[in-house]
Amino acid sequence: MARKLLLASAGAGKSERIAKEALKRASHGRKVLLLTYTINNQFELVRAICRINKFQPENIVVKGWFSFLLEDMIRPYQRCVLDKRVSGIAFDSRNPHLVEGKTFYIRGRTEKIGDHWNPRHYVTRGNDAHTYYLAKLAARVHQQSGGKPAHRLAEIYDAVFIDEIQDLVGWDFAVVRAMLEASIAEFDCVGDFRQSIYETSETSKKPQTSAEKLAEFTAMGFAIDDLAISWRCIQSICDLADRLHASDGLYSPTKSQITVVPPEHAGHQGIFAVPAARMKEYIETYNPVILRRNRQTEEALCDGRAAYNFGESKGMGFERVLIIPPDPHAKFLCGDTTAFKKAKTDESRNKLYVAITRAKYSVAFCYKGGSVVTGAQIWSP
Amino acid sequence: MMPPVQHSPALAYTSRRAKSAHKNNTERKGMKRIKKLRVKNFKKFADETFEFNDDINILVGDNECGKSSVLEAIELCLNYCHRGRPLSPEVMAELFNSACMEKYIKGDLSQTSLPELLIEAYVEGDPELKGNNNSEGADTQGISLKMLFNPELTPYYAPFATSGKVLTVPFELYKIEWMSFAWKPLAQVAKPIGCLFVDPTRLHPTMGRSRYINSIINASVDKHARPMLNLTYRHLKIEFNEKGDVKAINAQLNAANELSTKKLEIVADITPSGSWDSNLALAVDDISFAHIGKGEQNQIQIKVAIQNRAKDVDVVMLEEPENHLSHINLIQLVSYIEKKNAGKQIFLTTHSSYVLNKLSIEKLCLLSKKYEKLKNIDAGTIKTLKRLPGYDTLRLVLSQRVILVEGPSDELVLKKIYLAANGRLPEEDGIDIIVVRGIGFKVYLDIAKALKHSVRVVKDNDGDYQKNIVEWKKEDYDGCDFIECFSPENNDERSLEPALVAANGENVASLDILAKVMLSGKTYAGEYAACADLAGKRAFLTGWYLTDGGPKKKVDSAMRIFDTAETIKYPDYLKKAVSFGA
Repeated sequence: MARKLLLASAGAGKSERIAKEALKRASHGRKVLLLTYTINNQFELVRAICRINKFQPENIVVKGWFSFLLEDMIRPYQRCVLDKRVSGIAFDSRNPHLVEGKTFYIRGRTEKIGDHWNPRHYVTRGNDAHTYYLAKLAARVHQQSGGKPAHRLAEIYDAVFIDEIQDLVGWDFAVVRAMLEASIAEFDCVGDFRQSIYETSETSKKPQTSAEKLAEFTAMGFAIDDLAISWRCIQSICDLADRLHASDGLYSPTKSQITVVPPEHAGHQGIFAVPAARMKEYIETYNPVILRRNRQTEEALCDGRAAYNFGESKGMGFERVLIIPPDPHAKFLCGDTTAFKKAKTDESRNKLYVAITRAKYSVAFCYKGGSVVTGAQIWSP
Repeated sequence: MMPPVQHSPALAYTSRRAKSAHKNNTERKGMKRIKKLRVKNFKKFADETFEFNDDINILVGDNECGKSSVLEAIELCLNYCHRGRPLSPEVMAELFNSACMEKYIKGDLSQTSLPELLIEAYVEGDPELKGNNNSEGADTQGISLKMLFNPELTPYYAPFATSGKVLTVPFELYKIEWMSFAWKPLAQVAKPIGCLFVDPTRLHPTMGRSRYINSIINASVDKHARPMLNLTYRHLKIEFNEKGDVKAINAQLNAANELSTKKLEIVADITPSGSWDSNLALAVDDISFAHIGKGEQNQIQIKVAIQNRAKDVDVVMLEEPENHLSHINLIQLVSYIEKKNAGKQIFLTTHSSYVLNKLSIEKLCLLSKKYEKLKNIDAGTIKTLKRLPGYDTLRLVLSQRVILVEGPSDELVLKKIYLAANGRLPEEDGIDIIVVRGIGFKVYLDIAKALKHSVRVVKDNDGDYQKNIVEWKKEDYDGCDFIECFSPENNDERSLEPALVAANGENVASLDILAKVMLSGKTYAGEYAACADLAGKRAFLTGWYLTDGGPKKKVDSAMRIFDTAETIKYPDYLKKAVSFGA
């Protein structure tokens, strides 16, 4: 039973790598399960498979994490916890048991009432499972059924790949641990904690931080490897992005694999600070994709142009990017390496990492004076 | 903020079947098989469980015993349809057990008393179907089909139940749940187990014949060849429209715009619904499939189903393959089934002993009072019947009152005894007398033993009752009290004729009556009459059947006994053998 955790930097081509590995196994008649967190990445994995193989072989199954939990880890043996079939999923953006806007709980939502499992803890009145407690339910079913879901899984699949491992948190790890109980021949996880931008910090279940998660993987017996290359960004962009997490001491320096910059982009490469007053001029000259905190950021400037929120841009790649940085981002870009030190979570820092690594040839950021981060130049036409 | 993750059916591509030449894989995933079927409130079955063989299952039983219902239950559970028809409230009404419907109608009509129908197929070969959501709570692979009241329609139930005229179960308020044991809903387009039901009655025009034939044709065409067939067909239709003759006809059709002011043309239908499988038909020697003989239709359907080039069929069900076939054609068909059945699981119903014996008696699944699968049958018996499939094994299995006899004379005399006592022939009362002929009692009794099936044996003691009857029974059938042996205990009454002589030989007058019936007029008046005394006459009559032509003489005598109006006495063991009490 090989267990590998591959930490791939942004633009390392991990989708291609997963697709290639999956196809190799599929061609040997093995059945492969690819799990990922977001719907965008499900599409991306299928596209990556089809770039190599034209069509998705029938023995490669791509599933979203939630549907996987529901279909494979919960329903087959759910009756040891919930008697009535879980009919679907109810998406929660917050803990559904908390009174809205408060920090105390709604009555009657504890996991057990007396000796009995309480359905209200896991499902709505309409019998849809709360996404917030979905992984906990999966882990509970696994535990109560004596590990049956994992053994079923091992009967179906020869190899399991989990992509975007950075998005798993808390109880999700209990599920991964459960899956490892059965003899699935290969178990590979791929991800990059630097791109973890969905923090569900409300749950108290460990692991929460990147460091805790890495420790958990090591404890589960995963061999950790890293893939510090970028097929997307030129070296100067890699260097800037690397600097964000340098103080963690976990990651090797990223090596750009770009050897030739197309002539139409060669004239304007690297990191640029664009004075706020000249933003419009810059946008008209280079037509960059604008990355922003949310839809309210610089609405007038973004109107009618290609613009994405930081979170949305994950997984995408553009020739040129213009970042409109919120406060801590601006501080960092203006040379303050301690800008993210005070933050409780990695969310802000990781969002900037994602934003910078979207760019192939140039990253510009809106600059309101002061010094700029090493390697950046103040733009003047 | 949580990411917009949603289950997307297009992406969550679940493989219909992991098909692969890879050794580990085929080894582990194996062929798909139905191990067991459980039905509740379905047709005549209130609650019944059927266990099956992995290869061939020969369903045997009397008329109306539910053989076809078992096939229908499998089709429902695997294909989500009933004899090719989609499941509507009308169809549901046909499927529910009448006793459970009656019970509901006569009951308090409460919502919770509405009957539920359940069919569960316990299978092997597809771990994705695994889970413990089945009536047994077992951790196993399977599919379940449930027809039950839809609680969402609760508001409509009260008006119905209180209307004062509840004559039927309100199936319009029912829903159907079709799921794997993992509680994953199933879809007809991606059925986990391929099942083909060859059902000759579906050839009837009212049963949507062409669709049925085409499902059969579909099974005969390679999966990848199907789109080509359709493409070629569409081409053909376009070509038709472009043909010179057709254009000329079209030009004339409305030349003077008399019919319409718009353009009017005869064209081949190229709407999307006009795909090849709804328009093309199978032709045999240029005769359309619907018009060839029933026997030929039957054979072709079965062969196509078994061959299944599309390789998407795991289970083939055949209803009475012997229908419309001559014996020779049946022999050919059965040998085809035997040889070409490439790893598919076969279910067939039959009334033919030949089909049963040839495909192997050990595959017998008997539906009588309870369901029984034949097991532990002697290997020699299986082999004997495969080589000599002409024996009437089914008569033994299906008859509740069987008497096995050695020869036709025993049969005739037994019938006569029964007729004299009851005024009817034994077969009219469901008593089946089987002449065991060449293969002897053993084959029949092995089957009876395996099924614990009651059977009576009328056997000659051949001069040694202890050895040939008592010890013979003890050796092979010790403790089988369902096998009863009838034979004269006196060793002098070695067979039927000496026993008859003994029964009628107490004085010359009674013996003469017997002799007159049994012997030809010439022998009676000549050689028999010449014997001096009772002892002499007895000796002559007994010895007569040991001389040349004995077997023929025996049958001739038995015939005369059967036809006679004289009253003769019959040996006690024979009287007991045909007496079944009240």
